[in-house]
Amino acid sequence: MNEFVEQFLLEARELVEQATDDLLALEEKPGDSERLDSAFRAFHTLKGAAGIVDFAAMTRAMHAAEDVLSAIRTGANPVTPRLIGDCLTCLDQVIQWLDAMQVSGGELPPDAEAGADAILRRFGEESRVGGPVALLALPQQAPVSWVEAMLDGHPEAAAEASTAIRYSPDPGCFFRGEDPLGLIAQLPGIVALDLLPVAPWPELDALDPFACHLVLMVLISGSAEQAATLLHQVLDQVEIRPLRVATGGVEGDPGLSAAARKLLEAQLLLLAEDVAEGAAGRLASAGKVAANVLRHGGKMAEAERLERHLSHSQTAGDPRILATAIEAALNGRLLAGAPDDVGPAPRLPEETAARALRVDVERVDALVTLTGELTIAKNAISHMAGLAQDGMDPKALAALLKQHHVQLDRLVDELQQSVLRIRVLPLNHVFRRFPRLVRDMAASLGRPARLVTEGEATEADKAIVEALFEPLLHVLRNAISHGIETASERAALGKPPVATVHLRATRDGEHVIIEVADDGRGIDLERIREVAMERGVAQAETLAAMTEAEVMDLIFAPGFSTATAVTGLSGRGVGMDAVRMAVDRLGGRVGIESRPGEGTLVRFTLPLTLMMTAVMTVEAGGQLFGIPLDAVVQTVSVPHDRILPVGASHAFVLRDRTIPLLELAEVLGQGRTMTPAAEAKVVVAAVRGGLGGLEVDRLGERMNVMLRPLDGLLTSLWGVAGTTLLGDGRVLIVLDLEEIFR
Amino acid sequence: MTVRLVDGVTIVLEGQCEIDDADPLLRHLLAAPHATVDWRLCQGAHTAIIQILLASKAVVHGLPDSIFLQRNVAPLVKKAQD
Repeated sequence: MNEFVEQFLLEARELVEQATDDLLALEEKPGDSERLDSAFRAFHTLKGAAGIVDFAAMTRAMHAAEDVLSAIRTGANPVTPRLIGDCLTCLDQVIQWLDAMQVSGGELPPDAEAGADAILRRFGEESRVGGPVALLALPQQAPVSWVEAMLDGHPEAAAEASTAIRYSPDPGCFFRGEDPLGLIAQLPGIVALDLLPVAPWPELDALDPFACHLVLMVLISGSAEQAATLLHQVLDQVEIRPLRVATGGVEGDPGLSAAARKLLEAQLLLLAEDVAEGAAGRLASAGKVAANVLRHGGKMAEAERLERHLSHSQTAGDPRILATAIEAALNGRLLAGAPDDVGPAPRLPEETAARALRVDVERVDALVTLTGELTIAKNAISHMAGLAQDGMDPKALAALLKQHHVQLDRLVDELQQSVLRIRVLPLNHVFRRFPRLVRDMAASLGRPARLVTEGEATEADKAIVEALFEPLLHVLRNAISHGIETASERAALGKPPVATVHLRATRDGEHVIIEVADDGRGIDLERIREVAMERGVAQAETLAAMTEAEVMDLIFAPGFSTATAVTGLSGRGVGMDAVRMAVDRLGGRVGIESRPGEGTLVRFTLPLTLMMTAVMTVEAGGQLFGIPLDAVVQTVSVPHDRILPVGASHAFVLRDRTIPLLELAEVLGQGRTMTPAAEAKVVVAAVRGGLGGLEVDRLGERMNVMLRPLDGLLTSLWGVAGTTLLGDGRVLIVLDLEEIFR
Repeated sequence: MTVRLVDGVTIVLEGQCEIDDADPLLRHLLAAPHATVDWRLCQGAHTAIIQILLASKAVVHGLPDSIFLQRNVAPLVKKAQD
């Protein structure tokens, strides 16, 4: 991606956030001229930024929004929720474009013009009172002579042109500050331009340089509407002729990157190999890689479809079925007649993580200093090597080495700390997206609510901050759709009609605490008990023995959801269990407190950093694996005769609790160990609220590792949380126990 | 200065040439009818500037520093010389 585009993406996102903040503040306080000016500036800067990367569609859209805001500034238009909503929709469109550009590596989104047209239409409806867009209805007229002359004069451009424009500026236009050519230059997709004198040129000394003597004729590939919008100030001097009805052609599949295409093509080559030996393996491998490539590109539905073709291909023993499917994916076609075709899954808005970090210079300077010290420490090693070669007394040498090790240890420790400090982001990064979303949710559910955020400056690791969006959104949704009463209910209870939802972050030692608190009706424990029984989440006697807090905690149990009405926002079958799972994955905890009539509080307790993980190594099937230590409860030796078969699996009893037992080597597909010892070595781990046992061949050591999460094509690898390098250079695979025990 | 006469035979257009530059450009061209206009550093030109280049059939040197001018205007200015 080129540097300008990168900068553009970064800045545009910041500007969109700024504009969103301003618009929301403006909605609350319509008279706030500072916010209005700030929003206007943000749109204006966005327009300028779009111009730098030649993104004409975005320039148009931003221009339209700017017009609307400037009408507010002059007092011509009042601030209405609808107008704010339109401006916000415009920003949503920008974010979609930015996301598309991020994915495609800087290519302008192919459907951008259509998106910009939609925005212009939206604003057009807004400015019913003779706004510029009111002039947009342009009848398609019979070709006129100048159009034909223009097309004849530029045969090479005729194919691309969809609109012809003749602009006859009046001679005095320069005095009004108009620059006809400058206006024309902003038109999208100019394919031909002619500048003709209105009369034959006079002698140079008779030429009036301040009068316009030109007629400008242009062919553009953009639409007549676009031209009319850009030229709206001079529409009285312009003739615009649509040459044909613009067609929204869809070509190619923009979703696959070049690398992804190459990989898919490589799988086709693999499948084309005509060697009987290992054919089944090649088929499986090609299918898996292709599905992963698609998944990595965000094409979940296609990946699933491809996997179905793979299994079809495997049963039929015919690689051609898979090859056709891969080809189809390459061409962006959907293959008809796919077995059990369930249609594309509804695509959730993709979460694009911030790729660039803004880092305080001081933190970088600290790193530079450390690098210097590390270099010195490195040089000392060669000095010591020299001493060893010269036959220095081993004891003295060992002492020297130890001393040096202490020094290096300190430096590496400092380095780690400094790097961690670079990776932290303020929570504002995720918090600032919520006021807007809460506004929309509250409006669509008819439950007036405002969001108050506190502690946005609290910092946490980038990975945590970014992963928090989904779970927090879910909790906020619940607060608004279930927690808060309707305005009339609130009035009857004597509560302020607009509910308040607090989103707070605080730092507590090595943890970050995030709380979502509403002032709604609170949680009805009786109702939870009823639902838990109904849905079989817990039995009556279990429920009776539970404390109130334990009952409350059932909200996080899989299969529990108190939504009585399915709304567009919550109650889509994703319950609070998904929230708990997401927080668990981050190594955090989530809890809930509630007081009837007063409100509910959901508290996330998260680690400050994800980078250093304590793991325990175990050996299974001849390979070394890591298990995150925070999940390990204890390790025990269990005699084989105490392991009982339960259905198809095994279990054993530990302190009166039955614990399911998995054999790690078998789970990981490495086959059962051949030499059963008298006792099984079992790691007991706490997973998803319960305990589980993993039988391993050998228990290893405990170590702190820098866990590298899986990325690229390996992202969706089952059962693996990440990898790290061991001292001897081997790769240690750290297991994801959640997935293994699922 | 966005328009200036250098060594009596070259008129240099530099940066963004606005309407105010039209008069000096015209005067330079009248004073030195055979001057070449070097617009390689010109990043934008007002209609009035281009109009003078077209009317004077001035000989231009190089291509201006703007995609729009390069693609759409420069061919017209060159054509006017013929």
